[in-house]
Amino acid sequence: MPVSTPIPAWKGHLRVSDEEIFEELRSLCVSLLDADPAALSPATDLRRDLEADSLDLAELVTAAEVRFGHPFDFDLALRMQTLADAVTLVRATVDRDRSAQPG
Amino acid sequence: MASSTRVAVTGLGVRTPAGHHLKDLWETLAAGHSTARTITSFAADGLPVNFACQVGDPKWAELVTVRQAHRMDRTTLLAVCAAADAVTDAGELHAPPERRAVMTGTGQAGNETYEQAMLGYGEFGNPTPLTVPKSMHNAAAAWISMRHQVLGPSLTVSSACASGGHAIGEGLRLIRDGSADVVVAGGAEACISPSVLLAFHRCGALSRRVTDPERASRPFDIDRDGFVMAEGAAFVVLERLEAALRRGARVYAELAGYGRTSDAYHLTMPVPDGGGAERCMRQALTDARLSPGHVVHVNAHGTGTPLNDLAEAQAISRVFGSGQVSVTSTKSVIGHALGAAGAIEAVVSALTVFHGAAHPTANLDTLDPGCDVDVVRAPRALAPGAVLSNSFAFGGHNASLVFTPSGT
Repeated sequence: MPVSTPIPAWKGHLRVSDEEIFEELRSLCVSLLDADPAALSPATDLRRDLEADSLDLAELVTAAEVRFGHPFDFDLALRMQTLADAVTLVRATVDRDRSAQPG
Repeated sequence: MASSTRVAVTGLGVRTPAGHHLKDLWETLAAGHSTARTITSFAADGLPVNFACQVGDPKWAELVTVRQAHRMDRTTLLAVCAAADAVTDAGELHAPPERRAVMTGTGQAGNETYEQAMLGYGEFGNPTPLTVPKSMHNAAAAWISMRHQVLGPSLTVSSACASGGHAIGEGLRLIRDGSADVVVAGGAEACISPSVLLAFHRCGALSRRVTDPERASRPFDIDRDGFVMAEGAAFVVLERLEAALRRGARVYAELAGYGRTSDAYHLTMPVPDGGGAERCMRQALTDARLSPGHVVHVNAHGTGTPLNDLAEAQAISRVFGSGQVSVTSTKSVIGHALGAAGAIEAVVSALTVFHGAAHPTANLDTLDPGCDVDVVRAPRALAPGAVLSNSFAFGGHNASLVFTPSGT
């Protein structure tokens, strides 16, 4: 199950919604963690519910970086508990990078 | 120095181009038809060599979870499956976790993982957090240790095409020196890719018989032109003979001797007269406390390259006398699985002892007159006796294993 090719679909000018971020993360959890997509919600606990370990989380973060085209704060990302936390992290990173863009 | 500890082979497991069950493997070998085919699993059309002996669906779903498989390179997956089958085949083992060991061999390890991370992504590649743990040479040993609760030694040897033979020989030593009571030992390889095919082709090692792949692997034949790449895995379970008999285990054979020498000559070519191979076979026989006359059969390294077969045949003739021992090449049927080959051929050698029969060498139409050996052309019954298995490698690394009937 190779991670999809690095196409920064959301990078730059696109405004991505929280729902879209969640859907992307859901699809990553399905492909990387063999998760049941129907069982995933923002409240899903990555470690407890999906039994993700540090290597899983690192893989998830790396795949998300490729998917969203933004580098994440790795230490912060490894402290995520739920999928909602992951959405928040992506949201914050995307917004930060947008506001840092010139013009 | 030869050891008085007798070591039994009580479990065998394989993933090969001739199947995943011992019966399928043995019957395919006995039929003597090559399993080489034009590659269809990836676009190989533009390659100068586009055929190989490939393993079908490894049938891992009953043995590992989807998430475990996600963390394994194909090489590791084949290894874990073959090792699990070997342990199951051995029956109930009584060694506590601290007394278990695993010894794996591989040449290219997680090549597929490495290529996925590096090819087509510019100078940095596109590695994932799993690239290193999936591609490292010791990955199979790590997974086997976790799966079978091996708390004793878990190690990997990498000596190219002799890796599998060395792994099993080093496993024998772990039992003899008291490091472990049960050893799971074997080899795995899965690197049939465009890059690796091209690499072996460019160093002149592969057969170029693209129009007739099934006739391409022809060890000891006058028209041989190189080896046919293969993939696979094989593992054996080793334990003290005394312990095996006490628990009523089926003993395929004893692993009685191990030799390992170096040519110290060339990066890819064997010493032309096979001196390194000869010393290796003699060392293995000494280790087994046997003389050449005790050996009824040699499972040759027999790659089908012009240089290997000539050097190996000369060495065999010097050790055993011209035409004095039957010789066969498993690679004629299932190709050359590189770091797995020695382990697969160890399994075949144990089965040869167990069945008292040698499988034929496929595609031997005209014996090379320079190879003065008795090559088996049709299934042949053997007198009870020792079977010697050779594995030699790029780099001049040699390994020989001696298997004997149990109770002799």
